[in-house]
Amino acid sequence: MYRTSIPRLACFGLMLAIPAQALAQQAETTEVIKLPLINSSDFDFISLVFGGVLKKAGYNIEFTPVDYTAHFQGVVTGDFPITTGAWATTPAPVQDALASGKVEDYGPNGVEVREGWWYPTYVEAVCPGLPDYRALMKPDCQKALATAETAPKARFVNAPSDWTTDVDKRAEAFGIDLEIISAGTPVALAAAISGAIDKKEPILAWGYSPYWITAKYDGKWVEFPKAEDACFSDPKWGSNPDKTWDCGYKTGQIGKLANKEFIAKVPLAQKVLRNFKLATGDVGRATEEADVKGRPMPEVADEWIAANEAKWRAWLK
Amino acid sequence: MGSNAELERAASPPGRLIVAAVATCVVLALLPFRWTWDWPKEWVIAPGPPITVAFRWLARDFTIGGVEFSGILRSAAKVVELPMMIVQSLLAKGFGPFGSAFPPLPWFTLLGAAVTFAHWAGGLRLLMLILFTGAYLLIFGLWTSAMTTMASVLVAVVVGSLIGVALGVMAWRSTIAEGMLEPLYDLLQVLPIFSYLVPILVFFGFGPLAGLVATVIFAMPPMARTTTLALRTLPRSIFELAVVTGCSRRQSLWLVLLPASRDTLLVGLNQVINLSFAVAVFAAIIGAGGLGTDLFAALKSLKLGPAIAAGIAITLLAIALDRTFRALASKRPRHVRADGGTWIARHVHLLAASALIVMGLLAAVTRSELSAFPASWTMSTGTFWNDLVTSINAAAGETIASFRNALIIGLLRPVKDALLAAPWLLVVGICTVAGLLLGGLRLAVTVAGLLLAVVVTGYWDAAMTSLYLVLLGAAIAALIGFPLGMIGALNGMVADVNDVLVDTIQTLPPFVYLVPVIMVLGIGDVPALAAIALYAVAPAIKFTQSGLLQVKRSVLEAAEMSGCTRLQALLLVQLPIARPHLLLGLNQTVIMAFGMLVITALVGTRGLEANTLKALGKVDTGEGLVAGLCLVAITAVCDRLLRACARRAMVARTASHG
Repeated sequence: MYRTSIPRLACFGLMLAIPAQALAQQAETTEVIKLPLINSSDFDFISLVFGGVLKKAGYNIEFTPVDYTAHFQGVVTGDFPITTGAWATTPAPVQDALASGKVEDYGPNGVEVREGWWYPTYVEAVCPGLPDYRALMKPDCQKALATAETAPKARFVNAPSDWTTDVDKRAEAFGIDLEIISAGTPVALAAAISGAIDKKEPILAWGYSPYWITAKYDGKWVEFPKAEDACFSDPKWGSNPDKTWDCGYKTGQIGKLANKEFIAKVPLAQKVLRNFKLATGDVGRATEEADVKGRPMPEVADEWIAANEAKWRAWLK
Repeated sequence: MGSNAELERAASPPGRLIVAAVATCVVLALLPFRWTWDWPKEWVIAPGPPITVAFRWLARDFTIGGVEFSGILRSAAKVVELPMMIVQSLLAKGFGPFGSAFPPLPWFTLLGAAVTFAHWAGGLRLLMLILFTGAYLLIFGLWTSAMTTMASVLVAVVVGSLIGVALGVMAWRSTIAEGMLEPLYDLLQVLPIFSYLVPILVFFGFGPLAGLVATVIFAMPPMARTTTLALRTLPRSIFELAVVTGCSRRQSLWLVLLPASRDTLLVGLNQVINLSFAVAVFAAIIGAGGLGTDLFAALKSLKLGPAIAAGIAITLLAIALDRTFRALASKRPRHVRADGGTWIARHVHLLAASALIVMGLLAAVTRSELSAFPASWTMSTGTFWNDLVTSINAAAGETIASFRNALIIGLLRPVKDALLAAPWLLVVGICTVAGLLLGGLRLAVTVAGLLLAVVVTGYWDAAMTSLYLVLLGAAIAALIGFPLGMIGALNGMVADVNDVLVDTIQTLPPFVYLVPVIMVLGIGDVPALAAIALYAVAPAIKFTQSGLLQVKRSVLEAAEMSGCTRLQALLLVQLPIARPHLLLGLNQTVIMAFGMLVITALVGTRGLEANTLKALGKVDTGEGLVAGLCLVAITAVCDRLLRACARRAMVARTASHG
C-alpha cells in the first residue's frame, strides 16, 4: 500500500507544507502515530478518515492491522495511542482499558449501531407472524429453524463468542427454545448467512449495522418489546414477571479513546479527536462501497475526506 | 511417597493388576453419587481470576529499579527486532518511513537472484519451481505482500531451527532435560494462541517481534523432537567413528552426528517451515501484514477469489523455501581441480547474482517506477470461485445437506452425547486404569492428576466437547494417512505427490477452504471435523513415509535376497524397523488434531478452544490461560496413553520373538 519512492516523498513533503500554511495550528510532532485497522469495514473507515484528517494536519500517521480486542491493550500501553472504534455494545475490553487509569474516554463518534436478531425475509414463509418475536415460539417455526445438530431446538447462529450479545438471556426470558451456535469470527458468520441464503435455507442469526450482510441481503430484524433500563434490573417489567432481559436491544454508540500520556503531548490531535463525528449513513455507504462493490477502503475514505472538507476543517478549529 | 521398592512392586504386572482392580472397585462404588457425574458448581476451584489480576499488575504496575517490567522487555525486543527489520526493509518495505530513504529491492532483482541461487543449489528443477512461484506472485499482484511474509518467515525459520536443534541436543544428552521439555513441547503446540496473545502483545509490543515469538512458539517443537529422535536412532558405528577420529564433544556433534542425521533433521526443518507459514497468516491479526492481511481482507467480504490466490501463494512460498533448504542441505561439496577453469567460470552463479543485485540497486535508486511490476500485467480469478459455490449450492444443496445430516445423526451426535453423558469419574477411572496397565503407577498418577485438574476447574464438559471432535478427526486422519504413507514408500511417484499434498495441507490457510465449506455445508461441527481430519492427515502421511523410506538399502536388499516380495519387505521388514517414526507420526497426528482446534474455534466449535476465545474478548487472561491449559492436559493424557500403548506393543513383540 505504501510503496513510496523518492518522487512520492517529494509530494508528501509538499502535502506537509500546504496545510501548514493553510491551518492556524500545526502538528506538534513528526513521530509516527500508529492507528488501528481491524479488518472490519465500519471500524476501518472511521479510523482511516480520522487518520486522514490528522495527516492533513501534518501528523505522521501509519495504519496497522491489529486484533480488535487486543488493540485496547495497545491504547493502554501507548502502541495504538488513539482508537475511534470502541463499540459500546461489547463493553468488557473498553472498560478494562479505562480501568487501567491510563486511558481517557472521548465520548461517542456519532455513529449509531443497531444490533439484534436478523433473518432473511423468506423465513417469514415458514414462520408466519415474524418479525414479531412470538412467531419464533410456534412449533412449526421451531422445526423449520432446527438443524440436524440442534434438533429439536431451533438454531440461532450467533456472533463470535467474544462479543456481548445476550441472546441466551433473552431466549430464556421470552421462553424461546434456542440452541445457540457461535460463529467464531465475523467471516464465518457471513459465510453461514450467505450460504443459507444461496440455498434459501431458513436461518436466524446475529445481525448488526452498519454491516454489508444486513445491507446487501433482503432481511428483517426480529421485533421485541422496546428496551428500557428497568427491563434489565426489574424482573417485574415486561411479559415475563420472573425474569429480567425480556426486551429488545438498545441502539449503541461507537466511542473514542486515547492514551492520556500521549494525547497530552498533541493538543491539536486532541482537539480533532474531541470534535470528530461521523454520520451513520456515511459509514453505512462506505462499508457497502468496500464490501459489496469491492473497492479498497483507503480509497473510499480519501473520497470522503475530499468531499467533506468543510466538515473536517471545522474539527481543526 | 512410597519407597522405590514399593513403586517397583506396584509396577510389576501382578501388582498392577491388584491396584487396577482396587481402583475399579472404588470408581464403581462411588458412581451412585451425583457429584461423580457432574462436578458441582460450588466445588469449582477457579485459578483464573488471581492470574488475571497478577498479569494486570505485571503488565501495568510492576517495576524493576523504577523501570516498568514491560518496558525492559520491549527494549530488549528492539534489539532482537533489528535483523528482522533489515530483512523486511530489503525485501518489501524499503528503508526510512514508508520506504522513503531507500526503496526495497525491485522484483526482477530478487527473482533473478533467487533463480540464480536456485540453479546453483538445486539445478534446473529448483530453478523452475522458483521461477513459477515468482511468476505466480507477480501475475496475481501479490509480490509485495509475499515479500513481507517471506521476510518474517525467513527469520522465524532460522530462529526456530536453531532453538529447536539446541533443545533437541539438550534432550538427547540428558533425560532430565527431556522429561521437562517433552511436556513443554505439547504445551507450545496445543495452547491456543488466544491464551497468550494479549500477554505477548503487551510484553513485546505490537510489532513484528510479537509475530516472531508466536511463530517460533508454535513452529519450533517438531524440530526439537526430530533432532532428539535423529540422534537417538543413529547407528552406534557413527558414534564410534567420532571417537576413533579423535573428535571433541563439540566436533563430534557438529561434524559427525548432526550431518549423519541429516535426513531426519530435514523432516524437522520442513515442519518448521510449514508451521511458520501457517502461523504467519495468523500473525496478520497482530499487525504483521503480508499475505495474511490480504487473505483476511478478502474473506471479510467473502471474496473467495483473492483469498484463494493469497492462500496458494503461501503454499507455493512454503514449498519453494523448503525445497531450497533441502537442496542446500543435500548439496555435496564440490571438489574442483586446481586447474579446472578460471575463477570466473567457477563462480558464475555468484557473479550473476551479484550483478543482478547491483543492477537492481541502481535501477531502484534512479528509476523507482521500474521497481513495481506493471499493474496491467496482473490478473485475478474474479468472481469465479464465488459463482462456483453458488452453483454448487443451487445444484446439489439438498444432496449435500442430507449427507451432512446423516453424518451428524449417525456419527457426530452419538459420540458427543456419549462423552458428555458419561460420568467424569468413569472416564477418569478408565484412563487411569489404562495408564496403570500400560505404563505403570507413574503414568497412572500423571493421567489421573491431569484429568482431575480439568474436573476441579470446572471445564470437564468443554473438554469432552473438544475431545469428541479431536478423536473423530484423528481417527479419520490416521485411517487415510497411514495407508497413503505406505503407498508412498512403495512408489516414488506417489511419494512426490504425497510430499506436495502434505505441504499444501499444512500451509494452505484453513480459512481458504473452510469458508467455502461453511457456505456449502452450513456452520457447525461437520466443517470443523473435516478441517481437523484434513490437517491431521499431514503428519500421518509424512512420518509414515519418511520412516519407511529411511530403512537402509542394504537391509532391503537382504530382505529381497531372502525372497521377500516388495509388499512383504514393507510389512515384515520396513514397518517394524520404522516403528519409532510411525509412533512419532501417530503422536503428531493427535497433537495436530488438538492444535487445529484453534482454527475450529473461529468457525464456532464449542469446546475449551471456544473458552479461550471468549476469555480473549473479556480480557480475562487468567480464564483463557486456564482453559488453554486444560486443553493441554487433555492432549497430554492422550499422548502419554498412546505412547505407553505403543511401547507395550513393541516390548510384547520383541519378547515373543526372543
